[in-house]
Amino acid sequence: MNKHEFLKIMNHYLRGIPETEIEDILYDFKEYFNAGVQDGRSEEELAHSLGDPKAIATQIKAEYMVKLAKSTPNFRNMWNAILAAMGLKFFKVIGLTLMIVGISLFLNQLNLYSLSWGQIWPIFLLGAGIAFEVSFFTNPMRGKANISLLIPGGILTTIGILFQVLALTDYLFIIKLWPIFLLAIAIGLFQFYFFGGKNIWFMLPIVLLGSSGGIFLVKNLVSANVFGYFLAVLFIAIGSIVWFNFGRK
Amino acid sequence: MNIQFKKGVLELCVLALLSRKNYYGYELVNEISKTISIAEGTIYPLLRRLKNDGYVTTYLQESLEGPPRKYYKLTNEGEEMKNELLKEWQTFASRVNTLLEGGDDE
Repeated sequence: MNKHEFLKIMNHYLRGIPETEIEDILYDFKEYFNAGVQDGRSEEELAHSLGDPKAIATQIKAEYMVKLAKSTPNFRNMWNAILAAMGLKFFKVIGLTLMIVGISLFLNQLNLYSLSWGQIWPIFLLGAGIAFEVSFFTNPMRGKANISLLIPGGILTTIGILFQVLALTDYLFIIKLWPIFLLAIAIGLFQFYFFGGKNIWFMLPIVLLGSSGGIFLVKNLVSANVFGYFLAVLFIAIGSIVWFNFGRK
Repeated sequence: MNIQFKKGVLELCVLALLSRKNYYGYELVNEISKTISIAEGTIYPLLRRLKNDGYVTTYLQESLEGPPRKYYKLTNEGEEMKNELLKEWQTFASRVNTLLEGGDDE
């Protein structure tokens, strides 16, 4: 990548903030390249040391938008700040989801295949969930601003998959699969815990929801006989953990 | 090294360098990257934030080669901020060192 390409990418990802501001930002980078070339380094080498132009531009833009929303907190500015913090990938996934649903309905209308609205609606839940996940994991400035996206991300993705399976099977299995609702919340919270600084207190709801969801799911999926063994082993395991950790002293 | 940690230290380093003399972007970035390995471009968003928060100001100065250069200068608030961060850093570093050396209170 040379100077021109680097600046072009930055300019592209800065769009949306005032022109004078963009010029001011790019001035620094032009200067960096000029000074570096006088220093005897090549443009490619300089671009490499600067890093990813998209990441730099996205970060500067998000910070500008957040600053604007704080100083003038109207609806428009706050919306822009949210958009900048979420990144463009979020809307790519939402757009893709809408297109898939649209095409699917269209084909259904033409009687080319037979997935009705009733069978594909959960894709919206799934799409929204994946959009939240993607916007967190592809954002170069992962951090406090968008870590909370992982809670709706985990919950919606899991429930989306669940409902998609249910919708395609006439909801026959809801009697067996309902504990996944509990697991979905545990998954959302766990992601938040895992990527968000590991605040240990989050483990309490995660373990409670996760273990109860897990136990009910096992109960629903295996025969009563097998579940009897499962419970027996589980109680022995928990009992021995409690015995050895808390029984002493 | 932990990214968040690096970012915090980076801010202190930028303020500390600017409290010695005024730098233009390339010079400052080069100085930092001698010590801390980081994508050099990430220093610019930091400089903008410092400027927005009033810790640094900029001015243009003619250079012999090419267009005028944008120099960064520490404000009084910036100087205060630097002293505060420096104090925090020194306390933190000395405690960690005590811990690593095994401590002397036991």
